Amino acid sequence: MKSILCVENVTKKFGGVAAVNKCSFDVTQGTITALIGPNGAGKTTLFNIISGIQPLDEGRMVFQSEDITGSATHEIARKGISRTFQLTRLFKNLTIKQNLLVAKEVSDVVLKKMLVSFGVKKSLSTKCTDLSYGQQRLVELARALLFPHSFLMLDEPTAGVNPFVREQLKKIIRCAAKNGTTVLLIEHDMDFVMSLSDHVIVLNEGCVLAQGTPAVIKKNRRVLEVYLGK
Amino acid sequence: MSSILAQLLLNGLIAGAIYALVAAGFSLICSVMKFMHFAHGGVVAAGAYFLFMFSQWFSPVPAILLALVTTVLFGVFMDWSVYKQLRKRHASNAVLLIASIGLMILTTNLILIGFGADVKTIPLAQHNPVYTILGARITLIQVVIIATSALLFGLLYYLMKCTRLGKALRAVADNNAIAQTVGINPSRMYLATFILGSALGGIAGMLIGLEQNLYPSMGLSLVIKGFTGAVIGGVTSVHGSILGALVLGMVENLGIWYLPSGYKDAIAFVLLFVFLLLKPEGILGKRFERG
Repeated sequence: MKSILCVENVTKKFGGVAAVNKCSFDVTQGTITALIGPNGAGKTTLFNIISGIQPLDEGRMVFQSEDITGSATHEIARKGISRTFQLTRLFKNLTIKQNLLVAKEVSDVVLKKMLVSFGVKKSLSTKCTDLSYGQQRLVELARALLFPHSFLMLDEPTAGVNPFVREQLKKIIRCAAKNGTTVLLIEHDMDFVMSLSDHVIVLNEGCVLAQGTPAVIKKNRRVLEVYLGK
Repeated sequence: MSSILAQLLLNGLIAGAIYALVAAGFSLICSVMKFMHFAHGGVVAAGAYFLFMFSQWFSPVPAILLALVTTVLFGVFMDWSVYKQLRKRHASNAVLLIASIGLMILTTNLILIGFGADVKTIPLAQHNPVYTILGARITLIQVVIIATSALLFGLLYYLMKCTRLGKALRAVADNNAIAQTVGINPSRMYLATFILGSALGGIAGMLIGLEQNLYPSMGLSLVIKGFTGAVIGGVTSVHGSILGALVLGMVENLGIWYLPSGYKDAIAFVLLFVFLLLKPEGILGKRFERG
């Protein structure tokens, strides 16, 4: 199985505190990999480092055999890494259509079809601020999927969304993976993670605590102790 | 009475068109870069003086083109030499604002050194026939000012709404960090912003130079009018700024129906304070946020 992303000894410190500490893992091409861990484990910091939003202090990252360490956010994005955020980040002053067209120029027909398949029954000219939180999540995901990519990073996609949207998200992520996209997601909803992921990486205090299939992780004693508090 | 009203309305439209060109460039830069580029006034003045300089040596068309290109380069140079260096050092908006005021003063002084303190007239403007519309008099240059402004606003609207560059600029103006995650290079957008903004400012300067006399500090008074128009319409909205500047031109000129013409600037500032106090986001703008 070929690795699409290789994170090697990545360290990020804020002041004297290491949010990510010599963290190493590989993400296999074509899989759905979940990054889990308790609050403050360094998951979002790691996402921000991979997407170039935050610089790393040590280590290196290789994406599709190319060193992307120190590359700017837009350069990393253009290499095929698309992402969503923990707190939905849409262009607030733009409409749904304008938000999506920033990612890729496609026809209105394609956009409408995409939104319908996502369960967003709103006009393309709707301002993003007029959407519910769940709809904003879906539009953000649509934008991330529309942007030319091979690697999709989703930061807590189910946070604050209702069960219907949650199921929609699951279908969309599965469909993306089926179409060749490698998915790396951060998630706290364990049912969602275990039912969707091929591989799970557990972070604790900025380090990789364990990794393996959902079945293996479920039985890992250290994970249960640290992550589930047992 | 009606011919006086028609004349004041026409004068208001002419003044508003000029202010709107200044305001459009100022607002475009402000919305994308998230700071007040008061040195835009220097770029406007540079446009007028470059046209004055080139018109001494060349016929009108090459002189105008050369003046436009030089003004754009001047505006881009301002960004590259000062703002870009400050951005690299993560300077705050307050620092950028102070730098822009410094650049405005520096530009005025450079004009003073290069061209002297005396008032200049662009020789291209010497043949200027007068027409009468509904009892109001308008010169050929004033017709050109209104027509050019209308054309530029149309082109700007098309660029911002219908082109990929416009969409990318609006995305950066909305949220620079997210724009980068969809592959938009902010440095290129900043460059494009300064090219477009300086071109608008340069054209405004050239048109003003054809209509009025040139003096070294002309940029300061114009950028204040452009800024006032932008505040009225909404600093972060290019279209709002154009609307606000047109309102300013009209109010200034209709105001002097009742007040001496010397109060023109006072009218503009009263309007500025009214908007700053009661509707600081302007007619179409959003509240100014650091992006």
